[in-house]
Amino acid sequence: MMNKVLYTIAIPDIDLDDDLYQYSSPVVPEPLRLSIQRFGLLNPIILQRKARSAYRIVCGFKRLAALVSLKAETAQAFVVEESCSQLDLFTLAIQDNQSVRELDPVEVATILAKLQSTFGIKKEDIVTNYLPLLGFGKNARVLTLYSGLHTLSVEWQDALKKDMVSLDFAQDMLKRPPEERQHIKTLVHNLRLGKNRQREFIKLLADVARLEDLSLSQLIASRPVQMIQLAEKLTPSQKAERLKEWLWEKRYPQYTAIKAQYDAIVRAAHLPPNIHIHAPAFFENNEYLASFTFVSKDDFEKSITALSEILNRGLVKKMSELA
Amino acid sequence: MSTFASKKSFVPKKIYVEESVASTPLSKRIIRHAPHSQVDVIADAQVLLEKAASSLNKGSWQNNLLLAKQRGPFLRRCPGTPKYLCCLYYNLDVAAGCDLGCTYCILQGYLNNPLITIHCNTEEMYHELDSTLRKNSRIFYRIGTGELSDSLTFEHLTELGPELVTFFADKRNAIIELKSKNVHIDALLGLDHRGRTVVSWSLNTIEMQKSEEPLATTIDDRLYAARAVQNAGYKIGFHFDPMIDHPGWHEGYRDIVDKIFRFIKPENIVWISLGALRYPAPFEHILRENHPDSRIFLGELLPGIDKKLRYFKPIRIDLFGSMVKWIRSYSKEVFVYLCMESADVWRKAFGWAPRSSAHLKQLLDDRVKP
Repeated sequence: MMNKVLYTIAIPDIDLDDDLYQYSSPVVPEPLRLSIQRFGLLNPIILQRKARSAYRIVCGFKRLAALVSLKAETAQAFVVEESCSQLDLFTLAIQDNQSVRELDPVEVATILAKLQSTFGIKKEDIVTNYLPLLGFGKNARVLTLYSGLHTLSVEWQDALKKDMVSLDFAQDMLKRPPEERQHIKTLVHNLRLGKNRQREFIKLLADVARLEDLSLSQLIASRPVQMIQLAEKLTPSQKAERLKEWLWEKRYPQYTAIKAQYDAIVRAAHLPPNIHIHAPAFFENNEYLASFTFVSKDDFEKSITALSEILNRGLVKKMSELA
Repeated sequence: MSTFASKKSFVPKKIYVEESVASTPLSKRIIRHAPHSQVDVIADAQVLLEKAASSLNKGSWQNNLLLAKQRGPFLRRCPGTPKYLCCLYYNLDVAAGCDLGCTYCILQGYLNNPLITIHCNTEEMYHELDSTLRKNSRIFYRIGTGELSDSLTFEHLTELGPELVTFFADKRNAIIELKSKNVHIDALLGLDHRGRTVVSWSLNTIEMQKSEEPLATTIDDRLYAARAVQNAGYKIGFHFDPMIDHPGWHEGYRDIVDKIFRFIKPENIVWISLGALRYPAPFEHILRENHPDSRIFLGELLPGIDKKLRYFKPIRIDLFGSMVKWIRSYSKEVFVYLCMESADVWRKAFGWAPRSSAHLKQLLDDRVKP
């Protein structure tokens, strides 16, 4: 495929706008620029000859951009002929990066999109032949999971690269209009929501918005949600908890009402701190759990007396009749 | 026989026939009844099923039909659900998959395959049934074909109903229940069933039928079919499962109860089951993805003891308690039971509860024992 002779190519002969094989961000990492400035190009780029003595970049988009920024006039390169299969060269470009680092989700998304739209590869063939190359096995769901992520705004792409948002959350964002994405991004930032909580919150918000016949933007912009986000005295995690409570009241009104009644009963019991009463999860079964710790006979007797009191005051009956 | 305006008759675009069942009477019958379907004989159904399961365009497989060999047993105990009362039913897995596409159907999660499959080695099925029923002559079996599919929806192709009715007619320790949302009943009407077949319909409110079961027949047609089957001497069952908490459900379900008793004599109703919308939590994203416009997933569905998502308990108690009250206003005798519910919900909705799953089974068996 490639003649192993190293050529010195004049940079003006290289078509810098030809992005046929490009799938990475064009931003040059500063360490790479500094390395080239100090030691020169240690790893030659790979070019493909085009008509009229011009060249197209196969591998080394960032290295070349660094050379350009350093005002270099030539670049050391291996050259492949125009007749070489473009798909083979794209595969080479993928493997060139994979040999030194892991591809980020946006790069994977770009590769999958290019395989389909630029190189005309059918989805089935991508699953069979290219997903394993990218380290995914023949899992068709990967296509769905990565599809379109490269079209997200740079901010979302950066969040993906930094592993601050999950792939399915990013997919969810793709389906939403830009205004909604912006509202969600601000909310995620204000509440410092990690990947797991992002999913939990977006589901709750989307459900509540539907129940209230609002758009997601309208719901996030609503006064109660804004008040929680802007509350100065609350930490981000307290804000998240407060918002979750508010959303649960909207999403599960009957459950939260019963839960509030239960909490009121427990508060009214004025139990000493060594006694705990646990309601069944979501009041689904009817088994309550009462437990206490003790360090002495006196302690034990006091706890039994306190439990007897809540029984005599009818609070146990009230609890068991809640749901 | 009256015709049903909303009757659905699945016509497969393509029929794949596994070589080993190509010459069975059921395969031949299905192919004969689908003269316009392209027929492909394949060596191994498993290969095709894997291909369909991993296909990126699952929708394209839904119009096809696979005639395959059932490799495992046909008869299986209903898995029920841990920690809830179960009626200890048996499923006869002749078909897997359905053409009706109801939004709430958990087959979307259980069957990871878009290809509707009919198991055509029925000779082995009857042999297995004979042998099981004979070997366990002291056990009474309530058996249904409506768990992994709809019992009647492929009847125009399979004509399996008359076969099953005839097979069970002389069985002393079993009945067959044909449970459906379709109305392919004509072939059942003149048979000597000897009370060993229960024909059942799944019902919901008109509003839920329209929004969540749009490809199934109308509720009225189901009731007309039930009346025709009643007139042919069959016992009738009704299943309100899943009941769905939606605005206007009181009026909606009440109307259907009224209709039932206008169409069917209470003494011909062998049972009415009630079950509220529920599904394993991991299936939720599949159901939501498949039916993004459905609002049923916005109900107060919370994890139950078995980790399935279910309506918050007081909502279920209200649904079931209301239904039983309306049913009782027509008949004190019709047996109403809950599918996969706790004894606590039974007591709060009905005022009593079976002592155990075995007790519930006994009560249901007693309804149909000879």
